Amino acid sequence: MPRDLDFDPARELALVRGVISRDEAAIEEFAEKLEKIQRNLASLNARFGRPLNADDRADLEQDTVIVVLKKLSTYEGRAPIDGWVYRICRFEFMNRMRAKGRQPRELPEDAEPASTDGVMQEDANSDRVRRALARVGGVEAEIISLRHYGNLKFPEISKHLEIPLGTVKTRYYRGLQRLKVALESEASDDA
Amino acid sequence: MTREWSERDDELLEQLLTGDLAPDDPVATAAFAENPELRRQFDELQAVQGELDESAAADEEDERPREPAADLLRRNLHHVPATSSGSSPRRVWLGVAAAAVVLIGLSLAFGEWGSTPKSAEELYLNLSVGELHPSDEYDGGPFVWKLDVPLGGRIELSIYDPKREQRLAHATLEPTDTSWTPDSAQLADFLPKMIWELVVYDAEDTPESFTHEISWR
Repeated sequence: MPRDLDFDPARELALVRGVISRDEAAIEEFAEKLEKIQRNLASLNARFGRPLNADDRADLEQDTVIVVLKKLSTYEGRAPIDGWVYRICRFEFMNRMRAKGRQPRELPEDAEPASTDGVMQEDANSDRVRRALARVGGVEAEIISLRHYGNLKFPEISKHLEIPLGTVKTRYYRGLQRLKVALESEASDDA
Repeated sequence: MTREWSERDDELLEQLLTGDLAPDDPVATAAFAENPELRRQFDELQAVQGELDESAAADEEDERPREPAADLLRRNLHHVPATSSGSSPRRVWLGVAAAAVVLIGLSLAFGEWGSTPKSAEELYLNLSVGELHPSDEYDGGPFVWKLDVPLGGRIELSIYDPKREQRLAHATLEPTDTSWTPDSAQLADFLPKMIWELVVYDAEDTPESFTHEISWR
């Protein structure tokens, strides 16, 4: 565990034990941690090229909450709860993505074709950004995804990835520079 | 006349892009006046941030209505085992079992410091956790390990910097996987000296981690 990570193991462990003993205040506080599961999954989905649709993500969010709750008694306070939950999200996301990879890609029953040029253009731009992000890869793409698609603040990202805050910001900055180059490459590929 | 780009410009640009420094702050305006290239790069990277936000907003439009997390938690509270955190004799036993079943090797590593490089096939270290070498060299090829007996769970491989402050690469693998190859983006992040960690999970999902220091370049 990095020494300069803002993390109080005793407090985090007490929170988990509070949930286990059904303490109402702890449940309220832990619910805020669970709120981040949706944002974690959204950022992972963007980071990996959006393999899951909204219905898949909603199902995965429910399943991941249950996995987190089932594993709660194994949390030992070695890492921030946010980081511990993020690792579970990542694992569950990768499992779901692998499982989906083995199935033919299906459109939802209520899917409609894109109806306007504006929507199609928006999707194309969004796809281009995600493709460029995939080119960046690594921890930099992960930080950018958590910041923009997960809407997390830098101190939160620091806890999620268990990386010091200063390092998170530096890697974010470097990642943006690499993303700019990747976007230029995408544009030249499209041309 | 524009002066050359400096480390200070990088620091300022990072602060501007992370929101630690406002573009209308006197420090920023003075720096922009002194170095127009700083302004140009800030504008370009801010445009990249704008594209990311637009992409994220397009994703959000697709979101389904969600149950509040507090309600979701209360509805699923029965999944939380009513036992406290910490090691139990069963977990310790499973940890020992996991340690016993997993033997790890790193291929495409060189043997001892300064020795002649060996091939991947020659370098199955095949050591238990207590016998890992303190350092080996890595040449960018696949990581390969060997399991003495089948593993019921999964494997997670992470590569960290020597102080374990940054995770440089991560992969979640199937229990049947016996190798992992970093992609080019991950290789670009690798440092001359790194820690690699293999976390193995048995069928009961009990983790056990093994760490090993490697060097390259």
